[in-house]
Amino acid sequence: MSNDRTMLQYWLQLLVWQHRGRLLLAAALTLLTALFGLALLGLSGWFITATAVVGAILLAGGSAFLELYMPGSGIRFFALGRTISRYAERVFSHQLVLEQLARVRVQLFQGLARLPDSALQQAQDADWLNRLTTDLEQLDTVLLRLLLPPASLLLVWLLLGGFFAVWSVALALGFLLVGLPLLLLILALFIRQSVALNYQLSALLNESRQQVITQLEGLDELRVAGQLQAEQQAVVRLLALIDGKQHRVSQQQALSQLLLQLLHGGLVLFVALLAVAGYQHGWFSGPVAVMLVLPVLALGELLQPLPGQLASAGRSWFAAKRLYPLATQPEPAAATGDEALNTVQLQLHRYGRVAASLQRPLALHLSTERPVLLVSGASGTGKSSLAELLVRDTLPGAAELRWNGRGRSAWQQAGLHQQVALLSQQSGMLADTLRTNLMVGLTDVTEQRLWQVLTQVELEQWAQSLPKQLDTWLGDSGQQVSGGQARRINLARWLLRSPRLVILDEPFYGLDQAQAARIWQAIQPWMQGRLVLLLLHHRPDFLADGWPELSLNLDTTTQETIS
Amino acid sequence: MRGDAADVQAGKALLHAVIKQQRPLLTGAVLLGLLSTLGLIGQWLALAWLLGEVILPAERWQWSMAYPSVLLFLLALVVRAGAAWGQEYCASRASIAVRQSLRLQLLQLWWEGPAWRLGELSAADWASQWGDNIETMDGYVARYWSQQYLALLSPLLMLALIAWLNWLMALILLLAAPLIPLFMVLVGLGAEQINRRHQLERQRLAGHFLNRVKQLRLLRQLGAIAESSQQIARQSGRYRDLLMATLKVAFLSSAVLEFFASVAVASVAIYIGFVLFGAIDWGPAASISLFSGLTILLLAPEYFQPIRQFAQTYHDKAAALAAAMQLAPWLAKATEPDRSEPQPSDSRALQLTELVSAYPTQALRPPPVTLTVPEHHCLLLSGPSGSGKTTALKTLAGLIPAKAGAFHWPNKHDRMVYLPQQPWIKPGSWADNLRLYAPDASESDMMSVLEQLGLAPLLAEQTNGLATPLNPADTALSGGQLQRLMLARALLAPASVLLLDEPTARLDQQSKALVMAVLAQRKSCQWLLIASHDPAMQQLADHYWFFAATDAGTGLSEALV
Repeated sequence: MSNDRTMLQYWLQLLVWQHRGRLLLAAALTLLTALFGLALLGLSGWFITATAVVGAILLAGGSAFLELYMPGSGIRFFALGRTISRYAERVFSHQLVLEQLARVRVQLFQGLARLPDSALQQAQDADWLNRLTTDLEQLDTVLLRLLLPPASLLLVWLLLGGFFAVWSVALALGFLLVGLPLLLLILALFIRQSVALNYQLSALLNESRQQVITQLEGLDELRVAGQLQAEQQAVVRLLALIDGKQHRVSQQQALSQLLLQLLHGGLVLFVALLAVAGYQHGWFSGPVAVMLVLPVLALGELLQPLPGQLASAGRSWFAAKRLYPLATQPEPAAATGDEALNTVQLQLHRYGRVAASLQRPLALHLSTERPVLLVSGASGTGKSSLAELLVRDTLPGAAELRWNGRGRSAWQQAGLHQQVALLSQQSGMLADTLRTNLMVGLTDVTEQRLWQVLTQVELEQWAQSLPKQLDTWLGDSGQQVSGGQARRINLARWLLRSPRLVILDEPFYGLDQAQAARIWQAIQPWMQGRLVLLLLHHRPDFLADGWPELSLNLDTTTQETIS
Repeated sequence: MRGDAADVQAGKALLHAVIKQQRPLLTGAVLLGLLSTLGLIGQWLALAWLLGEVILPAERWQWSMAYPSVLLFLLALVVRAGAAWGQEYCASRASIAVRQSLRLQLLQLWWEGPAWRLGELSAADWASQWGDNIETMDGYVARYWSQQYLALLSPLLMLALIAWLNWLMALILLLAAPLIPLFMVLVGLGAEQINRRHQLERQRLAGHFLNRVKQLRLLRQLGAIAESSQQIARQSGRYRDLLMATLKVAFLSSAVLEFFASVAVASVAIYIGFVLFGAIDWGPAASISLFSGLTILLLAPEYFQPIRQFAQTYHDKAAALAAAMQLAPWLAKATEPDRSEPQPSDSRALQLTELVSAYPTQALRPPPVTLTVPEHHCLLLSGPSGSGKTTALKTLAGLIPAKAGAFHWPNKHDRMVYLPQQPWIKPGSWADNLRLYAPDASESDMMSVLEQLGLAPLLAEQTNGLATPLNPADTALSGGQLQRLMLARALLAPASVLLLDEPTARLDQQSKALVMAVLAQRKSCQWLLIASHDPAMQQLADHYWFFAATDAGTGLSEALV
């Protein structure tokens, strides 16, 4: 499929091509380690045989000479060299994996940042985040399991063939023209089956996982009705499918291991017999004959783990396929112009989440002449849903929204959506320092200014009391922040900026009336000249009489409410 | 992360139990692994025999002299490859069976375990237990477990042959083997120490990316996307540096293995070479020939191979133990009998005897309640929100065990349906949901219930009628409409007991009237247990269970007939 090819190209570009220099170096180190291993055994075999032959001649009273020092140091060199190059290979390739991962993360983040809001909503879902992590981890294995081992095996094979050619063309031809195609055939067959099987297996596991999640959400109802077991029959059926696939995967793997071992044993015997023949014909000496055979033995170490390593291809492909659309979101057109947002009009008619609109059409209008509005309503009347509507990038049919009199695409073109501040009920805290939390996305904010906004939201004393003040780490692995504090830090963050439209959804959460009134007073200067939409469950005393109010409460006699 | 000693103990017990289940297959894997080692020994022995005989023949060498060694080689190859195939087969069968059985145990837990505790883990957490956590058992069962024996036994087999050929070489190899784990432990400790030095920073860096993904909408609003992606690149770089600092030490442990394996081969080769040359005549030098020398040389790297494989699987065990520690407490609960199962009795009424309903973890005890609700009567649980109505309803539904006292459902009752305040919407169509408890409900059955509840006009608006998908995130249906739709699902069920939690909370007067009418009609054939703060419900009630909010938020309850 051409789609798959584009995807493969994308990942190869990101994971391989962009790191090609270092990748070659990593491959070279892997190759070197393998070659040292082969050379160690080959030279050792040569050495033992040579000493035995010379020793036998000497014992028989003949005369012969063998230089022991050079081969001895060669053996020591290869032994040490192998250790060192293995270490270097591991360090280097892991470094490379981490670099790949960093690159993927940045790409993924940028891609996700282009997703529409509605799609990003799932980022709040723990399972979605879990799976994103799992998928990212699966990409780790690409270099260490899928790229380096087979590549180094092939190179070793070719080099060994070349080495054979020095001594016997027949041997080299047999090794390269019979051995290599057989190897490639076994691997190709294995990969073909294994990628598909492991891909399906990942998909099945994922499906079962999703079914489990939905059914657990209905656990209480299903249990009481005695229906859970019946509902989960679908999961049980999936388990049977998974079981079958897992069996086939393991059979595949065992079979290809068997074939590789037979191939390896066969090659050892083939090379040994040819070496014997060559020695008998006097093409080369006995020690050389042994030196030709033993490296083939050492190949076993590279062949044996191959099926297990390649088996991760299907899982990686599954992960890559899921990450691809996220990482490659098209860039939205860049905004142009420096027009200021001056009017906001929202019409709502029969929108389920704001129940009052089922009863009567709702109209919300902000402009430079009427810049402020209080939206009030008991909890569950749809205040947050209403606030969400103003910043969402897709609108339900029930809503009509105009900014500066224009529809969505036009105002996005003009960059108006960058002039909105939404103080929502979600925590909105970055796991970072207080300073970063306040000034993320801004440069050139003075220390004094940061303290000033903290004072406005009455967090100054709290910030002073923190172990490292502005540089204190906030979040799970640092200073815990309460819901109310988080809301005020979010507010302070906006006080450093100049949005045209400010939407404050329950900004005084967790505060008493007096404190709320003080903060409200303190931010008045900042609110001057902006469009402000304030959403509260009821009108507070401190709110100036001039504020118009739109109530989302229902005329309880006629219509349904919603929560 | 390290858990309590008890958690570790429980995790280990679980691992032990899963292995025990699959003992025959796993023992088979070990035995076949040993057989495969024997095959390998035979293979290299035959090769050394062939080469030794050709190069230093006792008499004039002929091809016919190669037959026995070639035959031995082929035989050994078949044994080795066949046994290895069998080993892999047994080990992976065991691993598949273990994962399958753990998943079935989880299903069992969800079916029968204590319902009130299952909510301690979110659905997403359960999904990770179900998916990734159970998958980590594969490495432990399929590889680690048999390898821990083979890492010991296979080298011993080879050592026995080497000792027979030359005891000095065997001694050297024997002494080298225990040094490896020793050095690996030392290196491991070093890595651990470096790891701990940057623990906090690493933890923060590791969580950085996900935190930023979580806050993407906010970052976009703040215009901080470009800055954040640069930060992600920087932090990933910093994370890499920290991780590499640990890995550079941790990899020394594999270097140690590599070093011993390489040096052993080198020293075996040099010693044997010098002996054969005649430069060394001490020790058991006389027993060395080209054949035995080659055999020892070929076996020396193989001697370390099982230990190496074991070292590679070592982290499989740590991962499996971590997973088992999370699973073990739950699977232990699956086997506990669920005390919340309602007791049947011979009487024809629901009887509450000194019943105290509260979560088992709750400290406060509301007063006990004694009540009898005869067949086709309605019990109303009323009181302000937060006073314990839902807890009591869940207790009667069998979802929470009674804190004290007991209640008895008559034998005759066959089935209950429970409708919580936030009903579960099954992913699927309207019909899929309506047929959840009544698979045989016909289209006209469904239509008539929908009509009774005033939902017929809404259905008419749907593009595909009853086959229209019902999306929980759907904005087209209001909370009240969904509420009534789920009530319709409950009413279609062939159940003798209906437990309804605030069935009218989100309804307007008109819909409420419809619901009340339907419930009144249902009283003639069903027990109705309704938790509601709606005074209108009193029209239906035959029995009351009052709850009063206390300062601590836990209910005081009182029964009236």
